Amino acid sequence: MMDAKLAISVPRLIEELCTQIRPRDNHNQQDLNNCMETERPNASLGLAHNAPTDECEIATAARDIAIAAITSHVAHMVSSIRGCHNQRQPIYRLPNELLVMIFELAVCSDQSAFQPLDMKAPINISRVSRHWRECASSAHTLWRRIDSMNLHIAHVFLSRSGCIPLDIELTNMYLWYNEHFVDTKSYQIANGYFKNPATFFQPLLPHVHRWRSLIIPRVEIGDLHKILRSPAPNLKALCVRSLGAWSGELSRVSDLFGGDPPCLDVLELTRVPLPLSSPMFTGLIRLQLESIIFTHSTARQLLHNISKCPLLEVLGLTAICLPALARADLDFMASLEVVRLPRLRVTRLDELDCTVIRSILSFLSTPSIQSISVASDGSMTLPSILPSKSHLPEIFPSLPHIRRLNFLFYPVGGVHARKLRIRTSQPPEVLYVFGQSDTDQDILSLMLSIGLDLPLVNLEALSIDISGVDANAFAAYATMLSNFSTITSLELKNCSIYAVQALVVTDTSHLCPLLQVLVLKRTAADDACLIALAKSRAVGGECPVHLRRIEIKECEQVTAFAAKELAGLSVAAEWDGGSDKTPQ
Amino acid sequence: MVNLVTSDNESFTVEKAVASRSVLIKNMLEDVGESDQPIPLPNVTASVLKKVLEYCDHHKNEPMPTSEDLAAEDTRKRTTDIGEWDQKFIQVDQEMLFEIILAANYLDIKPLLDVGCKTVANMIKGKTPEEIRKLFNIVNDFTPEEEAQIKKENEWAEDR
Repeated sequence: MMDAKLAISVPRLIEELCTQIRPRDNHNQQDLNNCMETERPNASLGLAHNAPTDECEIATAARDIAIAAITSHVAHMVSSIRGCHNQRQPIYRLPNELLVMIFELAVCSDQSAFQPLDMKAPINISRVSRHWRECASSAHTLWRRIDSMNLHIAHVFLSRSGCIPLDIELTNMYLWYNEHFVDTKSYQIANGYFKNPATFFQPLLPHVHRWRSLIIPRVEIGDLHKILRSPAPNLKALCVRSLGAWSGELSRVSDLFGGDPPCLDVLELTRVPLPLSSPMFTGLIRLQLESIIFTHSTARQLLHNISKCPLLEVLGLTAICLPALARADLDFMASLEVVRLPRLRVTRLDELDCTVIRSILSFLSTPSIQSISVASDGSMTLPSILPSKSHLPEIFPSLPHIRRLNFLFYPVGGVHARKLRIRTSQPPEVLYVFGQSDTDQDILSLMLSIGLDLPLVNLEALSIDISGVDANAFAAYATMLSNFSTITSLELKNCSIYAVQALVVTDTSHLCPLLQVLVLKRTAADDACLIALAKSRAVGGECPVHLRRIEIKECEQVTAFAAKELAGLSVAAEWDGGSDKTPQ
Repeated sequence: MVNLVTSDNESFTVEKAVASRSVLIKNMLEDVGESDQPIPLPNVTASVLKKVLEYCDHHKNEPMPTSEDLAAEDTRKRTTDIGEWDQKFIQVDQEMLFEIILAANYLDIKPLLDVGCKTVANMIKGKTPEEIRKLFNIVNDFTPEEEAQIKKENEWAEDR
């Protein structure tokens, strides 16, 4: 009975309301509500004031339904009108596939887990407009990444990502908290996950078959077994860190991934002693091990694993302790057939014994290498880490193509580790050698050997940035230059006056005989030294090749007098006027 | 030289090496062979083609991306870094920016399409929905039901 009356009353009421609304020009929802408040529906419906209660209820219900219907209708009309406005905007001309491509780029490069959710793609993108939401919601790749900031709406990501593999990162929020990027509440929640990784992974474990990459920046051994207990057949990247060193190697390694380890491309472990016998060490594209004390695994296994990674592009071994390493292992390593890794670009061997570094480098053939960096606690010289000269072309085949060497060495007090990094430009024309040590002895030994043990037969330009060339280092410096007799251009940065004086041609010394251009930057040369140098190498002297140009930048002790004298010697001088007048 | 005719009937004569940065034109040239026939580009206006050709001319000596390059890019983590020259080149108003993207897509010039899409992606990154709307002159056109759904997602966020 009630429903039947409502069915009649609602259309009547809507008609009545529409009659009232139509004449208004700027109607809106508020107007409509006001209207309904001030005008009694009973009167307009023609209901008697003394109508029975159920009649009043029917009218009220009819009114509410009508209001809701009109409100909804108006809202949809407004939405539609706004949609039409959006359709006219330039960005709406892009077809969906291009819009999704843009969204993917925004998501891929905006992976900062610390951002507030409403500023974080894809959430922000999907809340812009209906069209954007439709596009974003149907693009699975936008929703594949789950981290500490979106775990609470993981079900949204899990459903919208369809069935594609997932990238999962437990975020170390502490790194970002002080950057004012993240609010306290989000930090506390995320930090809770960080301290208890098992909680973070609980809702994700049922989807283990979809895991593609996994980053766990802090984990205890028990948690690791909980997290990695089931097979993850699609897992390609596994990056795990432990805050503290675990005692011994992982004993129940066969329990990981339910005894069915994935075929990984990337394996990065820090303080997580996964035994080197694990099959997860083979077939890798990127292998990075750091601060691991192996108690049973051997260097043989390490090299064996590397040989089973023919597509390896990045190899990083830092502070790896292999107690089983013995003379026999080294002999064994020396006897191994060289392993060719045609795609290896970066090798980092830090905080390892020089003998181990040398053995590993001697074991590899790396035609695509771009960077080799090594660091050691003990004294480190080029001969102590580099393989024999006969093997050098295998490990650094681009050496004959190097035209320029940038040699930077700086002393760092209080740093015990000696570091040395050898990197080439791409294509390999420039070689960068960076050294760092807290002892003078290291710089001397490096200068003595750089052109000898690392021969650069076609070098044309040399740039030296060494603050330690003093009277004691003079001989080593001169020896180094004598090894680079082919250079025509020399740049000295932050060097002492001895570095310039060594270039003066005398009866007993003629370093860099082909030198034509000399650049001095923040170098302690003075007028007398420069003039003596220019005279000894100027036209009319005994040198067959003459110094043509000297560029002097930020050298405080050089004056206009020297610049004038150099011009008189037919040496083009570019002087910036000293440090006070150096142009910005 | 290659003669290109735009949708507004303007003619551009350009070096083959420049025009061939477009895979579409390159394929057409290969199909047609040596010919003086102009190539019609009905989806590109003169003002847009002028910009596109400026890009192609600057990059004419660079190797064309191979299918291997494209496949490798898909597997690597993609970035939205843009070269210095390209950044200056793409500093245009939004109208032109989206026209360049559409033209690059139509002409099949993948590197230019990347530059355009990365530029838009960089504009979006780190912004709230309201900021994005303002940027592209978009208005909120969600229906009440959709707003309720979004609010629900927000509530999940707030109820953590």
